[in-house]
Amino acid sequence: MSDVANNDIVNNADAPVLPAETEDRLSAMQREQGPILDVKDLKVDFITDDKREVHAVRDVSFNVYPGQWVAIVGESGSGKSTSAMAVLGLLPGTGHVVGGSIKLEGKEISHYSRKQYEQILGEKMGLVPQDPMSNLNPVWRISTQVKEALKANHMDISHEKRSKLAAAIAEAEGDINLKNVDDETFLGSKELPGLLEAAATALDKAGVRDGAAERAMARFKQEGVPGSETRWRVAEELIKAGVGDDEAWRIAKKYVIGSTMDDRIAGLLDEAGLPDAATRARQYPYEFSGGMLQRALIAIGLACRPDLLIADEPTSALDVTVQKKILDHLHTLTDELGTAVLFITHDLGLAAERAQHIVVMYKGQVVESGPSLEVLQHPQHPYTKRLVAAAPSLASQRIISAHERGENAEALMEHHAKGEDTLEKSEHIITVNHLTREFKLPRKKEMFKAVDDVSFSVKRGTTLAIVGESGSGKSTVANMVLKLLEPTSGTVTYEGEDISGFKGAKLLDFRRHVQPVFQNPYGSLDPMYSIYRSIEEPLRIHGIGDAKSRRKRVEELLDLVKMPRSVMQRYPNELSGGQRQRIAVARAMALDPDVIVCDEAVSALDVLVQDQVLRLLNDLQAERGLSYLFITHDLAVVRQIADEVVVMQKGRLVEHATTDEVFDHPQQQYTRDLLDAIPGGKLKLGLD
Amino acid sequence: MGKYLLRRILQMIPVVLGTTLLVYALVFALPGDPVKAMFGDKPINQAVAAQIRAEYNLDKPFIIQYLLFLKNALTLNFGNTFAGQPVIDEIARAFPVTIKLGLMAFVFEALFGVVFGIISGLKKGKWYDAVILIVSLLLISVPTFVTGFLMQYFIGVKWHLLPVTAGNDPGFLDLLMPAMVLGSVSMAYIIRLSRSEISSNISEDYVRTARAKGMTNRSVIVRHVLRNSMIPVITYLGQDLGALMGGAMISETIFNIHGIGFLTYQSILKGESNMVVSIVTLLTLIFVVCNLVVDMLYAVLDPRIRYA
Amino acid sequence: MSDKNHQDDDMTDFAMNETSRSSVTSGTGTVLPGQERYVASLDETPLHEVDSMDESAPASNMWTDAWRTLRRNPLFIVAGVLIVFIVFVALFPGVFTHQNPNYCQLEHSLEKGGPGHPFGYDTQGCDVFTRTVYGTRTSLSVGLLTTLLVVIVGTLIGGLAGFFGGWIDAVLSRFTDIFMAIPMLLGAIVVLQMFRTSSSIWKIVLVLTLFGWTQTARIARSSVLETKNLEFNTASTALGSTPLRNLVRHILPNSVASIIVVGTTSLGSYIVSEATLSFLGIGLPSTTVSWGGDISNAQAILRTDPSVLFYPSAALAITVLAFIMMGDAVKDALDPKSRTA
Repeated sequence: MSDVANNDIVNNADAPVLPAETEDRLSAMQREQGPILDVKDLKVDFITDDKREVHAVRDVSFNVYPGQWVAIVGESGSGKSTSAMAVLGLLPGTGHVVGGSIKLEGKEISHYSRKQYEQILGEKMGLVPQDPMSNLNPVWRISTQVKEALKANHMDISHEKRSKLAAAIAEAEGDINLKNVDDETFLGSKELPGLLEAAATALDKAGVRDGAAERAMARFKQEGVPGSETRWRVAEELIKAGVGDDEAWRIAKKYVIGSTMDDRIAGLLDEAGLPDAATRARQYPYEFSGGMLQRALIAIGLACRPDLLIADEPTSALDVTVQKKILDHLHTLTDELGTAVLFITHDLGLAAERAQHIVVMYKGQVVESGPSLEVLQHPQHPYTKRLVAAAPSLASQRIISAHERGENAEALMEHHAKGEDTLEKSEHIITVNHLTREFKLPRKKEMFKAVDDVSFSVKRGTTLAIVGESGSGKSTVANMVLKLLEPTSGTVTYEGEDISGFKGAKLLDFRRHVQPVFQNPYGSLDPMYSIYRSIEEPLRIHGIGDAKSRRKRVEELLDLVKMPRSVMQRYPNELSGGQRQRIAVARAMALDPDVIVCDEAVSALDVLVQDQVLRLLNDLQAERGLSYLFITHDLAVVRQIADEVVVMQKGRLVEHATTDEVFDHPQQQYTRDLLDAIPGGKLKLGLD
Repeated sequence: MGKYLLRRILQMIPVVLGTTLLVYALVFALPGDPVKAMFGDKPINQAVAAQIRAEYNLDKPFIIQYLLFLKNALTLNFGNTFAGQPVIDEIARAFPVTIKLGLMAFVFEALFGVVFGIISGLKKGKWYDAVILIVSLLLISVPTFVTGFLMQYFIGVKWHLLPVTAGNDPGFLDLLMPAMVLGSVSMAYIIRLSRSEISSNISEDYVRTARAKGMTNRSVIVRHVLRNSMIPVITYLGQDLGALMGGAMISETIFNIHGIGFLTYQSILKGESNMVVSIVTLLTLIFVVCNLVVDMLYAVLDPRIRYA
Repeated sequence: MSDKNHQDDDMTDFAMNETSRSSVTSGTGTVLPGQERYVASLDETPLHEVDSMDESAPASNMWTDAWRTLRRNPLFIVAGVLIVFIVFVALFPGVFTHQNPNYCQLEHSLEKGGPGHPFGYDTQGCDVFTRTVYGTRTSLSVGLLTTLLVVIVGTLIGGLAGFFGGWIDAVLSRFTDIFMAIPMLLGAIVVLQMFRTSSSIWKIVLVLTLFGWTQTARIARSSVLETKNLEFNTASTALGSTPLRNLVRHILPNSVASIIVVGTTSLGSYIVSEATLSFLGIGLPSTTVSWGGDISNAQAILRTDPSVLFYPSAALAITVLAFIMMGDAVKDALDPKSRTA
């Protein structure tokens, strides 16, 4: 058993202690019920503009059993999302299923019409889509969009009916056993105060006093969410707190008599982990953060209690700590509801951590599948081996386990982090002193401190990583170091000189020595410039060499980043994200700089490509003694590149230490949270 | 919302001032003497000319002229025509029929533009989509006055379906054809706009999410595709309402309708600069106010605008 | 939190859900049918080099891509052929007719077509075919020159507003709003009534430019604003480039596509505007051959002799149609997001 699983079970107070045989009982049940989703030899084609067929998915087979999490792992373009959309009957554009079968609960659905799909979507299969920003309609309130899901599947009608029935029964106050209709009789917001009062009285009567009573009441207040808390749960809670069975049921029947639609919507959003759900539900999507939108989408996906939830990279767009929180929540929720989950992800660590069974896809095909830990510990297909080797989260995990076994982990590291003594002796090439930057927010009086009193220094020939989530101010620091933005106060010094005074030739000289590589591989190269012109641009700006020597220099630089020379005549739109990033590195290297500032330079890339670019950066540093300021939101990557780490949160520096120190002995809670959030970080890996 | 309205009104003020100044300058300050133009080909009577100059404050510095004009305009005092009639009376006489014509054209273009646009956008690639597209392309390419003549010739002269010209005090049927002519180009643009909006919105992620909820195709289309697609269409329509009044000139000339456009045209031919500047100022004001209304409507339809 | 599975008498279900997670990582769970270990053979899925470069693919950039899209678009082919023909007619009207368009003899008034005069004669006895051929030059010149001027003025004002932002943007944007608030036709009429006697096409071109540049300015502004914030500009600055150099070398070239689109699309509408003004009698005098003027003259005899009105109208419609179709095709090619076809 892994720590994760253990912790969660211990933390979940409701979870019964499971005897060993339950697991077999579960398997037996799953075996008996058969897979809820069975995909065999699925083939999906797209038709291009010039009428050619592109095989996006070829002979893909996998299945999902009730209550199970199954993950499909692959890079962008591997066909993982296409397979999922084929199952949902929601293939985009010209995509269509050309072969194979998709069985939902034993029924073939691949040939279903749109009308037939309408019947099963929402009720039997739900979707939590990838990009929270674009998946909610900007013109409707969140509550309206949740309500649509309920209405589409007639949940409103049946629910209202049931509420009425339950109310009638409660009025009758008879001895009828209510349990079977109670499951969907939710607590209404109107009755909540009455219930709490009655609960307090009942506790008092039952002789529960002082601390115990306070704790119980606090728990009632927390659990008593209108639209989510059901009658039997209320009774259960009361009984647990010490109220007699009959009295508990009497109170539950009296006060839990069904909720309104608005209560139910708020309840669903609350279940998905949205704070202050009743108020929030009335807002519009643009008033939500990405994490909140994702929670709303989870509420929508689970609103009609589907048997199968398809989660298509549900957290890829979010910060790691938010990602972890949301996935933990989703996991608990689907477990409580008995929902099976088909989880699509590009992150092998995440897949192995969350799913029981994983399916690895590559170029439209399944290359390997099996129980997740087994696949991870003993990858057999060369592609899986590559993935396992490149995943940053797993890499740092391997280093830790090597340490634990007293082995020398050096061999595992791509980057040999320098020790504290080496760093101390090194000369400071860039020093940042009490750096502060304020921004004026539109229509707000007070200034917003994006960066608040940050100090650190980059030592020559080493890498300093700044780690933080969105809004931590890390990129603002990078822009000030690059003198693209002036600090409100504080200084940046380069080679001992304050850069704020740099002008004209002096500034040009500074620009020559400090170069950037930016995040967005699609934005950092001018689409109108050929690769040759892009790499040549810095040489031109600084008036270096003539046409012939510049050409030679560009060729050298392409060799340096391991790109073929023939690429010179091509344009950025023909290159992949990783290739563009390598061109951006070549451009940054053109002037032989001392310092390269990498602002999320590898964040948008697939793991294998990311690994490749990181290797390139490490090689360049080893060969040329470059210094890097490496900005990233991904602590896992830091291990592969950095000697020192600065952790930033909300504009402030929270922790500053060597990489090993940060990973082995994090001082701050926030750093520990970041470390915990590295997906797959807690997996025990066998070392192959 | 209130703040937004206030901001928009404040932004409107310089535009109104600038526009009236521009129109005034174009008429009275450009090379070419408006007073001389009033006499047309007749010899200029210096005494009368001086009197006219004094009446229109043309003997004062330009900026004073403009301010006086503005002051008078605020009290709807636009001066008199050559014949001695108050300009405002003439305008008031001509306006109702133009408003009627404009509203009919507006209803025509909105109704048919949106309906055909939706059909075309939802059934892309079908034969009737192609027909709708070709017709809308033709309507845009053929100038309004040619469309007008053709309709007048066929529908009026040859087939006697509708009255050939409208004349004084026209009724609904008299104005039907002119209104169709007036609205035809905008209708074509609305068809194209609705069609492209629908076809781009239908592949939005939130539409897929809506389908994944199990909603029926019909409600997905209505609530998510059409609702969002209509925002720019309504914006266009609102702006066009203001522009229709100004564009009525062609239609009114062809069908002999004595509305604002006809009046403007006649005034230009007669060289009644005062009348021209008054009408253009008024129409510009209408246009600006329509834009303001559109902005408000836009904010109601798209909650993001209120926030930004 | 709760749901149907949380019932006392349904403990098995409950248990099942909780265990699913623990079995995830236990590694000892029994494998269910269909979930046995599977490894594809390497022959079926040959492994490629990570992020390898396909050197065999034909080189492409925005322009070659756009060209490739255009070539396949029937709209473009039709429009292209028409425009080439129209330009040819405008440049060499003498190839099609040997007559002088202003050579009119009243005795031929409203005569039907015959050999050498396929379209017949108008009221003044001018050859309709010749006048239609010569009218091409006027319309095309007005359209092209106005587009050229509008693009220059619009790009300049919009580009500066977008590039500098702040108060410059505020002032220029209000300035644009002022011109935008005056309907083009009305504004043109007000100005043109002062120059009724001039027969130069420049008066039309200048007036149309005066009231037509606003749309281009808006598009140029938003396009520059959008490009300005792209990372390659920041990258260039960090490489030592000056803002002005960025504007000239990066921002403007990247805004060209959207300006070309608006230019091509509006060219047709300028031709229509010229014809409308001539039709209203305040455009070009009748000494300048113009389709609009001829249509206006033919209006009087519409009931008796509609063919005189038909030919210049058809020529005008075809020309405008060609440019509007070209605009659509170019828009599709340069901006795949807003496909109209």
